[in-house]
Amino acid sequence: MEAAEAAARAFLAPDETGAAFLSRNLTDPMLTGIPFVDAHGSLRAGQMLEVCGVGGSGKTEILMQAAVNCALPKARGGVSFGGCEGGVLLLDLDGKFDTLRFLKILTSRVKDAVIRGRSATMKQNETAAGAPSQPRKTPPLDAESEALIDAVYAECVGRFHMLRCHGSLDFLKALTVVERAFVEAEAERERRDAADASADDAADASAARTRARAQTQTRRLLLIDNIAAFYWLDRASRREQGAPLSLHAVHHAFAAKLLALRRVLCISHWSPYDRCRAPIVVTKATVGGGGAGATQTHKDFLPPTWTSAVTQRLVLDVEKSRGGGPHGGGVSFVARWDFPRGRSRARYDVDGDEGIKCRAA
Amino acid sequence: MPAQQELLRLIGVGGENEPDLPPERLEEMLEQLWREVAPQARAVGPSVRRRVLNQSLDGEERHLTPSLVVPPPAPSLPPSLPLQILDGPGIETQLSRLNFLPTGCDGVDDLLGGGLRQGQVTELTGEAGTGKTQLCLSAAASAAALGHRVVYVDTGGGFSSARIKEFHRGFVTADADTSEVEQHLALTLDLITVVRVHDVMHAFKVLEELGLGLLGDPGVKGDGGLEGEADSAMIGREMGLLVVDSLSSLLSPTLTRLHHQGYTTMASVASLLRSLAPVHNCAVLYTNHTVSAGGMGGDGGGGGGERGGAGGSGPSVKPALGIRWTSTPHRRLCLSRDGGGAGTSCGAEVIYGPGTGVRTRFRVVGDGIRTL
Repeated sequence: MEAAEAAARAFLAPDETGAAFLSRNLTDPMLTGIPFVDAHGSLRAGQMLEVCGVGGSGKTEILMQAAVNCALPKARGGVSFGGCEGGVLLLDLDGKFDTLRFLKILTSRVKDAVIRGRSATMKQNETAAGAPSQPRKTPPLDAESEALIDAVYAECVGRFHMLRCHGSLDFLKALTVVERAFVEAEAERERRDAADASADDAADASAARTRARAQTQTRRLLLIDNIAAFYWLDRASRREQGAPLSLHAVHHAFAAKLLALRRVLCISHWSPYDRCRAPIVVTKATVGGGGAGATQTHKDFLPPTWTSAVTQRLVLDVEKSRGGGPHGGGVSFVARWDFPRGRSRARYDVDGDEGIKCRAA
Repeated sequence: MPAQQELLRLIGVGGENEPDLPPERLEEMLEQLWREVAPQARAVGPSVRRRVLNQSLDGEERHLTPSLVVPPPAPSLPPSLPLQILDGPGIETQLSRLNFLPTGCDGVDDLLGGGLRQGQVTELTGEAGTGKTQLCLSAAASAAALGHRVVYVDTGGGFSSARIKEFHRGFVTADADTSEVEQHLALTLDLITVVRVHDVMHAFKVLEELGLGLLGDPGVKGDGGLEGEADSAMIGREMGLLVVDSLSSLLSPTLTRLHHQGYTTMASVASLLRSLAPVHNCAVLYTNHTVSAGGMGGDGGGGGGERGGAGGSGPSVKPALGIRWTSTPHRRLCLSRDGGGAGTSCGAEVIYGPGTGVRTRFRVVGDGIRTL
């Protein structure tokens, strides 16, 4: 009887205060740096975006850029980096996420931002002094800039975690500990910050930091590369012969775990009311079927429990123009929103080195 | 409740009729799972960081020195645990241990951004006679000559130790000491294990045994899946390069309507290859044949990987194994022939993965593969 009452109370307990709801919905959405995703500005906590498309359409690239953008700081040392300062956890089911490429993109982003910031301040100084600005090469980076680059790079790398899963069982285990992973990573960063602060000196600096932290919520981003990676393996598992990891059971559990992560999420460690929810971006490899009739709705091959857990769906498609454009292959990519409807389509290219590049409409 | 049931319950796939786990047991299991998955504390110095970011083979490392150094013992990397969170420093440490393996052809190495990367899967596709097997043999010879253990899974009888010997001769200068070359060749050949496989079930067995080599404890013995006295578990543990030539000839017979588990078989092989590479820190190279892409060169639902070869003449072809296979490798290289007749040059183009669209041309000659 008591247990039943406790369960009922737990069910009735509010999982979010009005203030938390407002702060969640009024914070800036997570930006990925990809115009057609950011344009709609809805990668907020509690959303689950599914990016689906055929192989080679740039799904993993989108995750890569989202991860870099999320890990970058907003601004450091007077230079704006345009990032989200969030912790990233990537669950790699496909085994295809190239960590070296991630680090390289991160370095070049940090470096570019520092160089841009430095030349901007220099230009300002020049115009203030009234000196004629002559065209010249970018000056070599001074020691201060180098130190800034190193510090920002280390900070970003510290925000990134990844976990490779080699089967549905691994993935379910991973989903079970996702919350814990975020909390521990944040605690770890806090410990490091505290150590830095005490090493520096000033108590007022740490107080300022605490204040700053209270204002800016901890941000998190969960990325999953290819939810359908084990589709054929799970499909082969025979429920009638007692195999526990059947296709439906597995996807039901995926959806349930991710819904739970989205809804109930973690109580952050400094205030029980300040709940922190994470947007989730999931990729899904499809076998095409878009083609000419690209206006039709996307038909999900995963079980309905999964389909209903997704709140936004972006479909990437390859368009072959037989004429052969200036890009040689004559292949272009188009992204359209399957759900919610009515958002505009966008054309983009997948570049081997730079990732996703949008074309002008 | 047995432990297995408890775990299934914890991760959310237990039956609906099962009782819930008691809270204290739940806590305990979560704690245990977390300990299994938690990242290891590591610190990375700036030197490792710099080396990782500049990683790619520079000239002197790529070419074998004519001095014929005895290959260093194969790097015995600690296998990464199957399920463990990697934090930033962990990723950097892991990357700093991985190598780029040369293919024996500079042009192709450049296409691949430095060579075959350990931890990644590379596909070679192309019509018959475009140099797929030659590139495989050349890559095997190069890797072994540098001291990496190579496992060569041969499904069509294309392996030739005479060819390895010729490639090996091409690595050294003409005035090299004959006995030293012989000695080095013997060491090189010793490092190449050839496994002949003729059906997909046998391939499963071999791949799983190689997998055990790194995952299991040193006591695990192979049961004769590999030829000779070789202990497959030991070989798997040291393997630096895995070549499968040709993979598609094993898989395509299962992809018919008559075979009800064709796609499952294919997905299992894909998943095995993709987990072998990062867990074992080895590079995987396999070949795939081509099929006709149909009259108009497209099948309606076609995807990114089906562009024809560099030449573009003749009937358009696409890689075999279909659209579901397209995203299996990290990179897909399409080989093509520039003209008819023997001794003509071949072209290679990246058609999937980083560097898509980059091309090079090469020619297979007596003692190597020359970039044009």
